Amino acid sequence: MIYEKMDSIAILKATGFSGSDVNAIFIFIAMSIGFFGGLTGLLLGMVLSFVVDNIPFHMAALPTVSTYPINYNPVYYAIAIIFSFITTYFAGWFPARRASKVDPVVIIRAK
Amino acid sequence: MAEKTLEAININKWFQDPVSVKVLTDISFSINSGEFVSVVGKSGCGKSTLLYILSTMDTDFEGELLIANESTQQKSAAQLARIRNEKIGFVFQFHYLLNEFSVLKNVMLPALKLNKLSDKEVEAKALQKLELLNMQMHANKMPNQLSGGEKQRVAIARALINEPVIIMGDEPTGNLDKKNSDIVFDIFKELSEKFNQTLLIVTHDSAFAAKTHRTIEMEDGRIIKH
Repeated sequence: MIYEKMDSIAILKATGFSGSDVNAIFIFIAMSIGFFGGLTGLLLGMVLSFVVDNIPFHMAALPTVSTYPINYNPVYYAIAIIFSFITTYFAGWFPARRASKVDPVVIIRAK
Repeated sequence: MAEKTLEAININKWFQDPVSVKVLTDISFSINSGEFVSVVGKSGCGKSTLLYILSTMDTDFEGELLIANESTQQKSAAQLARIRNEKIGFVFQFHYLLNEFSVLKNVMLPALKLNKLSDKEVEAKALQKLELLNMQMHANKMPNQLSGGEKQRVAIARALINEPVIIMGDEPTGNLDKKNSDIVFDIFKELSEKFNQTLLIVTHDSAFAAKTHRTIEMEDGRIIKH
């Protein structure tokens, strides 16, 4: 993604944004992907587990269960969203760092 | 009375890669407040390289550069970014607007970064700058809905937003037809005459240069006339 955004990075730097500003922007983008992706995943998972929870599930070996046992403990959801934040943060870290080091002169001269 | 907006003292620059080549030799000149200066020279004479040095983007050179009587030596990258943000307005050959943002937001961006005014005040100021360039009706459009000449006018509005001490242009009319080049020139002229704006424009268009107050001529990395 940063290769497509080289021109934008160059113009930001030329107009006075520093390397750390550019870094922050890209980390922010990565984290928002993590947030919305994580949220979508959680909702989808919740809906799916709700569906599974309502499918009849009878087994001779387990006479007490009538549906597949589902655990809705919020702790698991919390772990999932935190995990999605952590992974996107690290996935965004390297490209953001590279973006922050882009030399605007090289980009502008290449035109 | 004339105050120096920009001063270059004995600037020398080499390109190291692949072999050491000297691209700028003993560049010394100054620009006074309110001057409209053009830099001309053949392609490859070092005029763009000089502009990147003067704009503080390129720090790999020998010599001294003063912007508004402030030396740029020994400044961190963040401090130089701040100088660019506050003191220098840039207009490039290719408009370089951010396509993700509306015209208005593009103009506002450097002022939001400067963070001296509230968002509301910045917006009002951006509209005022767009009005100055007769572009206010396009404020809410996206850059890709504008023509090349219009984009360049938006880029000029953006360059003006922080009321910089100097506007630098790197072939700002290089990508425009005659009619739009004239419009851009007339805007620069108006800024210079009405608002006493200092301008430094690199160009290979000699007709454009001839109409400015002063022309700096470069050849093979040296100033041959100024």
